[in-house]
Amino acid sequence: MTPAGFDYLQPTSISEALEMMSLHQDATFLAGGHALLPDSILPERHRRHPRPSTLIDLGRIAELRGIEVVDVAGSPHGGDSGGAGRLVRIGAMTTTADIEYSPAIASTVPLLSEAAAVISDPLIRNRATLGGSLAEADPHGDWPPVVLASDATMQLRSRDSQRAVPAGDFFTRDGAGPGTGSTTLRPGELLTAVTVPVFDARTRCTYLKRMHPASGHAMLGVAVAVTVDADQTCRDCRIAITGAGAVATRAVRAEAQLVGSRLTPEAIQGAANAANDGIEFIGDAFGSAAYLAELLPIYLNRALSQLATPSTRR
Amino acid sequence: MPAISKLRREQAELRGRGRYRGIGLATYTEFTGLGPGRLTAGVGFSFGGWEYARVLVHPTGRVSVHVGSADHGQGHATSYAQLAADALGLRPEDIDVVEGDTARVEFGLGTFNSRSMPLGGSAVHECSQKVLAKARRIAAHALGAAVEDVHYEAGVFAASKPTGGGPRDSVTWEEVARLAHFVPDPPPGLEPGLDERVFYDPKGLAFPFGTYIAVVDVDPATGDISVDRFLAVDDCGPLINPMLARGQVHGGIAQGLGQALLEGARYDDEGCLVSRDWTTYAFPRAQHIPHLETAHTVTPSPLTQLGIKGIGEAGAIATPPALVNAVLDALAPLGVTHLDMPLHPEQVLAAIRQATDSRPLGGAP
Repeated sequence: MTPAGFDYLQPTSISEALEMMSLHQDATFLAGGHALLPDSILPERHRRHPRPSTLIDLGRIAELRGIEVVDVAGSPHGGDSGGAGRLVRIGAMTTTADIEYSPAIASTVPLLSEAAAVISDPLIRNRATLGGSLAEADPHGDWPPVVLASDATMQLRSRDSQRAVPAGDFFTRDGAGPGTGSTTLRPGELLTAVTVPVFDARTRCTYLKRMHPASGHAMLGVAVAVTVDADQTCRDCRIAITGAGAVATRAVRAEAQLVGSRLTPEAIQGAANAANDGIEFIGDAFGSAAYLAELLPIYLNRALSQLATPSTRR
Repeated sequence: MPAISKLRREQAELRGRGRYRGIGLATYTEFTGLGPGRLTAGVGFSFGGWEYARVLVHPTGRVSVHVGSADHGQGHATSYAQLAADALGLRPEDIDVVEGDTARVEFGLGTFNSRSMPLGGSAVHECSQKVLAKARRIAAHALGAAVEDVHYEAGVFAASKPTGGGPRDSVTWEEVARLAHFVPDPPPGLEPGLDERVFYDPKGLAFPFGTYIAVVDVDPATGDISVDRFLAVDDCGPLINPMLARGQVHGGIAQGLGQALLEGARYDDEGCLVSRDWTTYAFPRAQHIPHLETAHTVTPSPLTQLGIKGIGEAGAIATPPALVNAVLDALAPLGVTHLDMPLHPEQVLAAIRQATDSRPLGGAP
């Protein structure tokens, strides 16, 4: 149960980290370590990753940390919202606790504050990072559905290029088996930041999570952001689900049920009934696939019902 | 502690509003303090039934208490020091408890069967009394008084009647400790030193008992169980340290709750263990533990020193049946009459579906 030997490198800039990655075969970036390190001590058949020969620790790179709200003109960040506006830029090595307690996040993209507060426990939130969780794309991760529901964009850098990938294009299944969520990160590429458009004042959001009793991950999680007009009509709706299948996904049919309607119990139930559409459920010892399929419509119904009354939340 | 009738009224009201509230009771009695030797021999163990203590007074007056029942988190250093301090008329901070080191502690059977306080504690108490009896003889000699005329309280030995020409009328614990080692003319028949050992073999087992009440709500849509209230009343005899005793009860309840609701080894279809580490085996964490309301009745055992009965395992005994009974009570209106631990929500939901003869789990709505 002790990890095999490995080399350990500690760059202090993004370019140095990318340079190191190009020089070392089988190297892996180390963020908060809460996915990689537990994985590395598992027996080989249970591991999600091959054992790295070199760890490149991103912990000393200041430019990978921090939260800033920026005004942008034109198409801001490659996301599908388009247009000019304000963005929140969160460095990939920003910890969950930093997000949880950031007043800037709470006032601009409150879905992230709410999600951060229910991730595992305070000890883990102090070390686990936003970027680490997204790059891991664990099928039960909390951040993947949150960036999907908040229309975020992943900022990626490699030695000779950079690109912006909308969250909806970032998560993939790699087909290697159940529970193997993956990403479109290319070899040698680093997730440096996440940009999130500032929520509309009419947007209400929630992250309803069923915590796995052993892992603290999401046994099931529903992230919802709905924008509601003064006449209570739903203008825009983004629903994302984690824990159910191989990777976090948008519930597009459920979203379509709501857009253009008011958030009535009937409309909400209609959306809930569509929640399972297209999902291949994957269970475990604490909840079979059939059980998760029972739970998901209930969770979506409860999340939306919470948002139908705007009094307590944005 | 609420009256059960009040809990039942609340339950009836909630049921009227479609909520599945349940109240579960469990009472227990256990035997603790395994010994005496003739009993352990009778059931086939060959290790005797005693527990060991050594009370060693240093020439400075500080006291080392060596105990053979090693602590694994119960707080022995505090409770044994309290017992010795009470028996010796000293403060707990005057006592050093030595344990868990076979180079320093000569003997010990161990901590199990909630026996540290009833047996180890009795050994410390009895051994402290032995030390004090010898100290009193040394004090009497120094005061020129008869032993029965020496009154001891809070670290001072005083002659209760004029000593008839004795050099003084009182002597402190520290002076007696020094005299015990360095006096030029020890009392006749008394060896120097203040160092006693006791192998305490009890007269019989102790029998703690108690009653636990769980109040739960079950979500009929998901099978989720939430514990609204959890009440524990234990009788472990006199409490040496109420806070440590409460800690023992809390820990036991957490273990019982883990057994009832969360834990269990699981294997996949190929026989591989899938509950293989702390991310796949659900032991209870702080977030799983409800607010616990604890209280005690005090019925001393006639068979141990001070009537102490032990509290280590109490919480783990009645918690599982109290919780399971509460869930069954909550689901009684639906006709659920049997559930097997651990009560994972999926199993609870499946039992609800089976009892109400509605669609099976995963079936079409």
